[in-house]
Amino acid sequence: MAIFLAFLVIFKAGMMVGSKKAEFSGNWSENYHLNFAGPKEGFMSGFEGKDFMEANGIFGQIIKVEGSNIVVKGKDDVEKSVIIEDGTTTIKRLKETLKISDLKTNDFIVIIGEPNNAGQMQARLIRVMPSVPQNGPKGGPGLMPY
Amino acid sequence: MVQQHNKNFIDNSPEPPKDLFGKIMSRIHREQRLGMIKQRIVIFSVGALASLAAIFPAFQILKTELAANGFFTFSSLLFSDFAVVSAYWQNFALSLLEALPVMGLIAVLAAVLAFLGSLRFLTKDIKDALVSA
Repeated sequence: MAIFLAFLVIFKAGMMVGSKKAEFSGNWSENYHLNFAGPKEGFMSGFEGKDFMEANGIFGQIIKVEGSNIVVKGKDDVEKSVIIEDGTTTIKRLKETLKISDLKTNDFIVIIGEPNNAGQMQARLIRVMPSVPQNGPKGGPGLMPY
Repeated sequence: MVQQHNKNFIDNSPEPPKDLFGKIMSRIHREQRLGMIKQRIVIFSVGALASLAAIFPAFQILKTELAANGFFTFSSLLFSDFAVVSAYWQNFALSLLEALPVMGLIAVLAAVLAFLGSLRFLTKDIKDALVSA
Protein backbone atom coordinates (compact mmCIF):
# COMPACT_ATOMS: atom_id res chain seq x y z
CA MET A 1 0.00 0.00 0.00
CA ALA A 2 2.80 2.41 0.97
CA ILE A 3 4.66 1.56 -2.24
CA PHE A 4 1.52 2.21 -4.25
CA LEU A 5 1.03 5.59 -2.55
CA ALA A 6 4.69 6.50 -3.13
CA PHE A 7 4.28 5.51 -6.78
CA LEU A 8 1.19 7.72 -7.10
CA VAL A 9 2.94 10.69 -5.47
CA ILE A 10 5.98 10.32 -7.76
CA PHE A 11 3.75 9.94 -10.80
CA LYS A 12 1.75 13.05 -9.85
CA ALA A 13 4.95 15.04 -9.24
CA GLY A 14 6.29 13.94 -12.62
CA MET A 15 3.07 14.98 -14.33
CA MET A 16 3.10 18.37 -12.61
CA VAL A 17 6.74 19.07 -13.45
CA GLY A 18 6.29 17.84 -17.02
CA SER A 19 3.23 20.00 -17.66
CA LYS A 20 4.99 23.08 -16.18
CA LYS A 21 8.02 22.49 -18.37
CA ALA A 22 5.87 21.91 -21.45
CA GLU A 23 3.84 25.07 -20.81
CA PHE A 24 6.94 27.17 -20.25
CA SER A 25 8.67 25.74 -23.31
CA GLY A 26 5.59 26.49 -25.42
CA ASN A 27 5.40 30.07 -24.15
CA TRP A 28 9.14 30.50 -24.60
CA SER A 29 9.08 29.42 -28.25
CA GLU A 30 5.91 31.40 -29.05
CA ASN A 31 7.37 34.59 -27.58
CA TYR A 32 10.94 34.08 -28.72
CA HIS A 33 10.84 36.84 -31.32
CA LEU A 34 9.38 39.25 -28.75
CA ASN A 35 11.82 38.42 -25.99
CA PHE A 36 14.97 37.97 -28.02
CA ALA A 37 14.22 39.80 -31.30
CA GLY A 38 14.43 36.71 -33.45
CA PRO A 39 12.55 35.86 -36.63
CA LYS A 40 8.76 36.30 -36.71
CA GLU A 41 8.10 32.63 -37.13
CA GLY A 42 9.96 31.99 -33.90
CA PHE A 43 12.56 29.36 -33.28
CA MET A 44 10.28 26.37 -32.91
CA SER A 45 12.06 24.54 -35.71
CA GLY A 46 15.30 24.66 -33.73
CA PHE A 47 13.52 23.47 -30.63
CA GLU A 48 12.18 20.27 -32.18
CA GLY A 49 13.61 17.11 -30.78
CA LYS A 50 14.88 18.78 -27.64
CA ASP A 51 13.66 18.20 -24.12
CA PHE A 52 11.35 20.71 -22.48
CA MET A 53 13.19 23.39 -20.58
CA GLU A 54 13.12 24.05 -16.87
CA ALA A 55 10.50 26.57 -15.80
CA ASN A 56 11.38 27.38 -12.20
CA GLY A 57 15.14 27.34 -12.01
CA ILE A 58 17.97 28.53 -14.24
CA PHE A 59 21.69 28.39 -13.81
CA GLY A 60 24.03 29.84 -16.35
CA GLN A 61 25.80 32.91 -17.64
CA ILE A 62 24.37 36.41 -18.09
CA ILE A 63 24.67 37.40 -21.73
CA LYS A 64 22.69 40.63 -21.59
CA VAL A 65 21.52 43.11 -18.94
CA GLU A 66 18.78 45.43 -20.13
CA GLY A 67 16.87 47.53 -17.61
CA SER A 68 15.04 45.18 -15.29
CA ASN A 69 15.53 42.26 -17.67
CA ILE A 70 18.49 39.99 -18.01
CA VAL A 71 19.12 37.30 -20.57
CA VAL A 72 20.80 34.15 -19.28
CA LYS A 73 22.43 31.44 -21.34
CA GLY A 74 21.46 28.29 -19.50
CA LYS A 75 21.58 24.57 -20.04
CA ASP A 76 22.04 23.46 -23.69
CA ASP A 77 22.97 27.08 -24.55
CA VAL A 78 19.33 28.13 -24.52
CA GLU A 79 18.79 31.78 -23.67
CA LYS A 80 16.12 32.73 -21.17
CA SER A 81 14.69 36.10 -20.35
CA VAL A 82 14.51 36.88 -16.64
CA ILE A 83 12.52 39.73 -15.12
CA ILE A 84 13.85 41.30 -11.95
CA GLU A 85 11.31 43.09 -9.78
CA ASP A 86 12.23 45.54 -7.06
CA GLY A 87 11.10 44.31 -3.67
CA THR A 88 10.37 40.80 -4.89
CA THR A 89 13.70 39.66 -6.26
CA THR A 90 16.62 39.10 -3.92
CA ILE A 91 20.05 39.31 -5.54
CA LYS A 92 22.96 37.95 -3.52
CA ARG A 93 26.69 37.61 -3.84
CA LEU A 94 28.49 36.20 -0.83
CA LYS A 95 26.64 37.78 2.09
CA GLU A 96 25.94 41.11 0.40
CA THR A 97 22.69 42.01 -1.29
CA LEU A 98 23.09 43.45 -4.77
CA LYS A 99 21.04 45.65 -7.08
CA ILE A 100 20.27 44.83 -10.69
CA SER A 101 22.89 47.38 -11.74
CA ASP A 102 25.53 45.25 -10.03
CA LEU A 103 24.85 42.35 -12.37
CA LYS A 104 27.33 42.17 -15.22
CA THR A 105 27.54 40.28 -18.46
CA ASN A 106 29.39 36.96 -18.09
CA ASP A 107 28.45 36.63 -14.40
CA PHE A 108 27.45 33.08 -13.53
CA ILE A 109 24.17 33.05 -11.65
CA VAL A 110 21.57 30.70 -10.21
CA ILE A 111 17.94 31.80 -10.34
CA ILE A 112 14.82 30.53 -8.62
CA GLY A 113 11.63 32.05 -9.96
CA GLU A 114 8.15 31.84 -11.37
CA PRO A 115 7.46 31.40 -15.10
CA ASN A 116 5.00 33.78 -16.76
CA ASN A 117 2.83 33.50 -19.85
CA ALA A 118 5.30 35.46 -21.96
CA GLY A 119 7.92 32.71 -21.73
CA GLN A 120 9.96 34.67 -19.20
CA MET A 121 10.87 33.98 -15.62
CA GLN A 122 10.08 36.35 -12.78
CA ALA A 123 13.08 35.96 -10.52
CA ARG A 124 12.65 35.46 -6.79
CA LEU A 125 16.25 34.72 -5.89
CA ILE A 126 19.40 35.36 -7.90
CA ARG A 127 22.70 34.21 -6.51
CA VAL A 128 25.85 35.31 -8.26
CA MET A 129 28.41 32.55 -8.25
CA PRO A 130 32.04 33.08 -7.33
CA SER A 131 33.79 31.84 -10.43
CA VAL A 132 33.40 30.24 -13.80
CA PRO A 133 32.98 26.48 -13.47
CA GLN A 134 35.74 24.52 -15.18
CA ASN A 135 33.44 22.54 -17.43
CA GLY A 136 30.61 25.01 -17.73
CA PRO A 137 26.95 24.40 -16.94
CA LYS A 138 26.78 21.38 -19.26
CA GLY A 139 28.93 19.16 -17.12
CA GLY A 140 31.51 19.21 -14.42
CA PRO A 141 30.96 19.58 -10.75
CA GLY A 142 28.37 22.33 -10.95
CA LEU A 143 28.37 25.75 -9.38
CA MET A 144 28.52 26.08 -5.64
CA PRO A 145 27.68 29.25 -3.77
CA TYR A 146 30.08 30.79 -1.32
CA MET B 1 22.05 -78.49 -10.46
CA VAL B 2 22.15 -74.87 -11.55
CA GLN B 3 18.39 -74.66 -11.54
CA GLN B 4 18.28 -76.02 -8.02
CA HIS B 5 20.87 -73.47 -6.93
CA ASN B 6 18.89 -70.62 -8.47
CA LYS B 7 15.69 -71.83 -6.80
CA ASN B 8 17.41 -71.97 -3.43
CA PHE B 9 18.81 -68.46 -3.97
CA ILE B 10 15.40 -67.01 -4.85
CA ASP B 11 13.68 -68.79 -2.00
CA ASN B 12 16.25 -67.75 0.60
CA SER B 13 17.08 -64.22 -0.67
CA PRO B 14 16.47 -61.44 1.89
CA GLU B 15 13.40 -59.27 1.41
CA PRO B 16 14.17 -55.59 0.71
CA PRO B 17 12.84 -53.17 3.28
CA LYS B 18 9.31 -52.04 2.50
CA ASP B 19 10.25 -48.34 2.46
CA LEU B 20 13.22 -48.81 0.11
CA PHE B 21 11.32 -47.66 -2.96
CA GLY B 22 10.13 -44.53 -1.17
CA LYS B 23 13.65 -43.80 0.05
CA ILE B 24 15.12 -44.18 -3.44
CA MET B 25 12.47 -41.93 -4.96
CA SER B 26 12.86 -39.27 -2.29
CA ARG B 27 16.65 -39.34 -2.77
CA ILE B 28 16.20 -38.93 -6.52
CA HIS B 29 13.86 -35.99 -5.94
CA ARG B 30 16.29 -34.45 -3.46
CA GLU B 31 19.15 -34.74 -5.96
CA GLN B 32 17.00 -33.24 -8.71
CA ARG B 33 16.01 -30.37 -6.41
CA LEU B 34 19.63 -29.84 -5.37
CA GLY B 35 20.64 -29.72 -9.04
CA MET B 36 18.01 -27.08 -9.74
CA ILE B 37 19.08 -25.07 -6.69
CA LYS B 38 22.71 -25.21 -7.85
CA GLN B 39 21.66 -23.93 -11.27
CA ARG B 40 19.70 -21.09 -9.66
CA ILE B 41 22.65 -20.24 -7.40
CA VAL B 42 24.89 -19.90 -10.47
CA ILE B 43 22.32 -17.78 -12.31
CA PHE B 44 21.64 -15.45 -9.38
CA SER B 45 25.36 -15.19 -8.53
CA VAL B 46 26.06 -14.01 -12.06
CA GLY B 47 23.03 -11.69 -11.86
CA ALA B 48 24.14 -10.23 -8.54
CA LEU B 49 27.70 -9.67 -9.76
CA ALA B 50 26.53 -8.13 -13.05
CA SER B 51 24.08 -5.80 -11.35
CA LEU B 52 26.68 -4.86 -8.72
CA ALA B 53 29.09 -4.03 -11.51
CA ALA B 54 26.37 -1.99 -13.26
CA ILE B 55 25.69 0.11 -10.16
CA PHE B 56 29.02 1.97 -10.42
CA PRO B 57 28.71 3.26 -14.02
CA ALA B 58 25.01 4.00 -13.43
CA PHE B 59 25.92 6.00 -10.34
CA GLN B 60 28.58 7.84 -12.33
CA ILE B 61 26.01 8.70 -15.01
CA LEU B 62 23.62 9.93 -12.32
CA LYS B 63 26.32 12.08 -10.72
CA THR B 64 27.24 13.64 -14.07
CA GLU B 65 23.61 14.31 -14.95
CA LEU B 66 22.92 15.81 -11.52
CA ALA B 67 25.83 18.20 -12.00
CA ALA B 68 24.85 18.99 -15.60
CA ASN B 69 21.24 19.72 -14.64
CA GLY B 70 22.37 21.95 -11.78
CA PHE B 71 20.79 19.83 -9.07
CA PHE B 72 23.72 20.34 -6.70
CA THR B 73 23.76 24.06 -7.48
CA PHE B 74 20.07 24.48 -6.73
CA SER B 75 20.18 22.35 -3.60
CA SER B 76 23.16 24.33 -2.29
CA LEU B 77 20.88 27.39 -2.18
CA LEU B 78 19.15 25.71 0.73
CA PHE B 79 22.27 26.29 2.81
CA SER B 80 23.28 29.70 1.50
CA ASP B 81 19.84 31.35 1.20
CA PHE B 82 17.56 29.43 3.50
CA ALA B 83 15.27 32.38 4.30
CA VAL B 84 14.53 33.20 0.65
CA VAL B 85 14.29 29.56 -0.35
CA SER B 86 11.81 28.82 2.44
CA ALA B 87 9.74 31.87 1.40
CA TYR B 88 9.56 30.57 -2.19
CA TRP B 89 9.73 26.88 -1.34
CA GLN B 90 7.32 25.88 -4.11
CA ASN B 91 9.51 27.41 -6.83
CA PHE B 92 12.56 25.92 -5.16
CA ALA B 93 11.00 22.44 -4.92
CA LEU B 94 9.93 22.59 -8.56
CA SER B 95 13.39 23.71 -9.67
CA LEU B 96 14.87 20.72 -7.82
CA LEU B 97 12.34 18.33 -9.35
CA GLU B 98 13.02 19.74 -12.80
CA ALA B 99 16.74 19.23 -12.31
CA LEU B 100 16.32 15.56 -11.39
CA PRO B 101 17.87 13.40 -14.12
CA VAL B 102 15.22 10.78 -14.84
CA MET B 103 17.37 8.46 -16.96
CA GLY B 104 20.21 8.44 -14.44
CA LEU B 105 17.82 7.71 -11.60
CA ILE B 106 16.17 4.90 -13.56
CA ALA B 107 19.59 3.38 -14.34
CA VAL B 108 20.72 3.47 -10.70
CA LEU B 109 17.41 2.22 -9.29
CA ALA B 110 17.21 -0.58 -11.87
CA ALA B 111 20.75 -1.72 -11.06
CA VAL B 112 20.17 -1.53 -7.29
CA LEU B 113 16.84 -3.37 -7.49
CA ALA B 114 18.33 -6.07 -9.73
CA PHE B 115 21.20 -6.50 -7.25
CA LEU B 116 18.90 -6.69 -4.21
CA GLY B 117 16.53 -9.08 -6.00
CA SER B 118 19.39 -11.37 -7.05
CA LEU B 119 20.82 -11.26 -3.53
CA ARG B 120 17.45 -12.17 -2.03
CA PHE B 121 16.99 -15.22 -4.28
CA LEU B 122 20.64 -16.16 -3.85
CA THR B 123 20.46 -16.25 -0.05
CA LYS B 124 17.20 -18.20 -0.19
CA ASP B 125 18.71 -20.77 -2.57
CA ILE B 126 21.90 -21.09 -0.50
CA LYS B 127 19.78 -21.69 2.59
CA ASP B 128 17.72 -24.32 0.72
CA ALA B 129 20.90 -25.97 -0.58
CA LEU B 130 22.35 -26.21 2.92
CA VAL B 131 19.13 -27.71 4.27
CA SER B 132 18.85 -30.20 1.39
CA ALA B 133 22.51 -31.28 1.53
